[in-house]
Amino acid sequence: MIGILALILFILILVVGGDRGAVSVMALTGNIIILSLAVILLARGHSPILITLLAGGIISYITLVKQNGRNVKTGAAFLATAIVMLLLMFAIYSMVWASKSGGLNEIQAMQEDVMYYYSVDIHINMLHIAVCICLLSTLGAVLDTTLSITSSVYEVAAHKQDLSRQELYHSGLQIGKEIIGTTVNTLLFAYLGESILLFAYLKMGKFTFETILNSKFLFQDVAVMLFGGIACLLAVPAASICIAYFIRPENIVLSEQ
Amino acid sequence: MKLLNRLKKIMHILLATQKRKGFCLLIFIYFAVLIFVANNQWLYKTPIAKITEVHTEEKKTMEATRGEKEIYYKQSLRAIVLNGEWKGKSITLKNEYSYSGVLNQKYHKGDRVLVNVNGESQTGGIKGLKRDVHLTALIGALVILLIFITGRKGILTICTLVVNAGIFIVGFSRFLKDDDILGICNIMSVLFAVGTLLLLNGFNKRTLAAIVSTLCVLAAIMGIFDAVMAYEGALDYSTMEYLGSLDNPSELFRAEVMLAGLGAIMDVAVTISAALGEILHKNPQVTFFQLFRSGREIGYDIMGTMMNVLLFVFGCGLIPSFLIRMNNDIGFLTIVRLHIPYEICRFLIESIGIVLTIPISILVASLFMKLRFRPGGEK
Repeated sequence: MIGILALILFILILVVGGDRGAVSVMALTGNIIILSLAVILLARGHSPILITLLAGGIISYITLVKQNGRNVKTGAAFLATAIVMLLLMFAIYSMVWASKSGGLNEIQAMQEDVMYYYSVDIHINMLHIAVCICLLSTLGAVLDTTLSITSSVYEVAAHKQDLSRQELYHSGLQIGKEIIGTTVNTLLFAYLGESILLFAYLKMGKFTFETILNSKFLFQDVAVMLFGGIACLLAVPAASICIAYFIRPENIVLSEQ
Repeated sequence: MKLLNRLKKIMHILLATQKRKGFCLLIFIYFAVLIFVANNQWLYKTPIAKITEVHTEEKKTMEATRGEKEIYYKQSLRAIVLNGEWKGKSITLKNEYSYSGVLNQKYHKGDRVLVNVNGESQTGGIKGLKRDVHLTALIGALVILLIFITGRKGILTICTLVVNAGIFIVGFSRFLKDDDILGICNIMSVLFAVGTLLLLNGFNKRTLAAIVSTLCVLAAIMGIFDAVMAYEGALDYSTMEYLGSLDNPSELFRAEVMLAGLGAIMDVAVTISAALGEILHKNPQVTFFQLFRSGREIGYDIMGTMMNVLLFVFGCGLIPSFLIRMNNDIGFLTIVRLHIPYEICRFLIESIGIVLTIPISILVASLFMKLRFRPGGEK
């Protein structure tokens, strides 16, 4: 099943995308490898926050620079992503800490294999792991937003060279307004699709509304989605400022060669 | 006096324009709602207690995996019940947590917890933390940022989120009564696509093209999914998460696959049809081949990052179960092979959807906008 689907995907990317399709296959594979490596290192008990920052940096580098070339667009997007992620890290950490939503949720904890077969004394701080999950799952959406904004502002600047920084910043915000709606919906559907089984399970079991509303399983899943939306929104002004500050007429000439 | 003047000045600056006034009002409402939710224990049937005193001591040290030591702590807590029959009474609660905190957590002074009170003995057990405040805080932050950064568009986005959640709730409650999950799911997908795109982009040709291409792609990927399933035989659903006592996992899985990528597919379809519409608007003489090439150019740019978005959203949720299994001597590749084939399968299908959206939406958009009188549903 997986083999056939992967083959179909691979062929489609090459047919539709050509050379650049091959590059995105490589970038995607690279990201999967980094994510797996991060999981393996985390399982060995290395510091979750440190691993997350490292993995986030490498993944951003692969997605932006390896996939789209080294230029002022990807540079600005990288910086904006870094700013947003660092800001967000404090918000996520305090929220996860306050809501105590680390570890397995109530339903996962009731599963047979966890209850009877597995030892849960794994000496890994699950609260930090929860922070790391929130951060990494928003990373993809933030990279998408920042790159869209910086490359669009770049196009605007290339077509109309006499725009001031202020005007470039505002065109960045304008583009952000256009793309945010669908990005937030992308996250919503990814979350809904992921949680259908959970919802079905809840309907079958006897859970009261109060229990569900205050439960860890709801909070963990919804927090990832909400933080994703918040991160993308913060990425709009951050990316606009970065690209408006970095872009200069000589940059445009250079990268068009 | 000086302070008052300064305050007046600040207020003056804050309320200078209509927009700022609206924003201040919004923030005020946000905090008012937060305070309300933090004190809404009178709405609850479950007793809620506020922790006033915490004593923590080490209980035991267990042998942890990888040769580490796992320390367990014991907490005895005093708490005041805030609602219900025992309102105002002080109770003692017990809690135990470990360094890892896989199944348990530490509580702090000031936390509000859902409890079950044990009659006259003034003791009780903790059911869980009261998390509705945190949930409200996050939702409120998202709403405020949406309105602040994207203005009118933000309000529309919130509308789409509410409408979609509404469709989902209605569809989902039908879902478990009826047995026709797939039929309902089809209707839901159409409603989602039409509702979201119309609300976000208004009624025009580009939106129509985007809707038609989204539905075509959805039909195509579900076709691929069914064909591969028929060829390979059904998946083994026995290790799926949250399976419980559900008797129709294959249908639920199909519904998952259908919904999870819908947002991403719509995103790509909108981007391409909006861009092609813009090109046609600027230069009506453009040929089909030129349109196709520009569409492909835009498609390359978004394809990779969209697949990344899904990779991280789907992949990161699996980390906790990976960590626990890997520390119980199950190899990384074994877990990949045995425990997450559904997630991989879903990710691959959504990625196929994203890639397919590029040619399909170029085709549909050009047909819709160039040949005026041909109906676009060529599939």
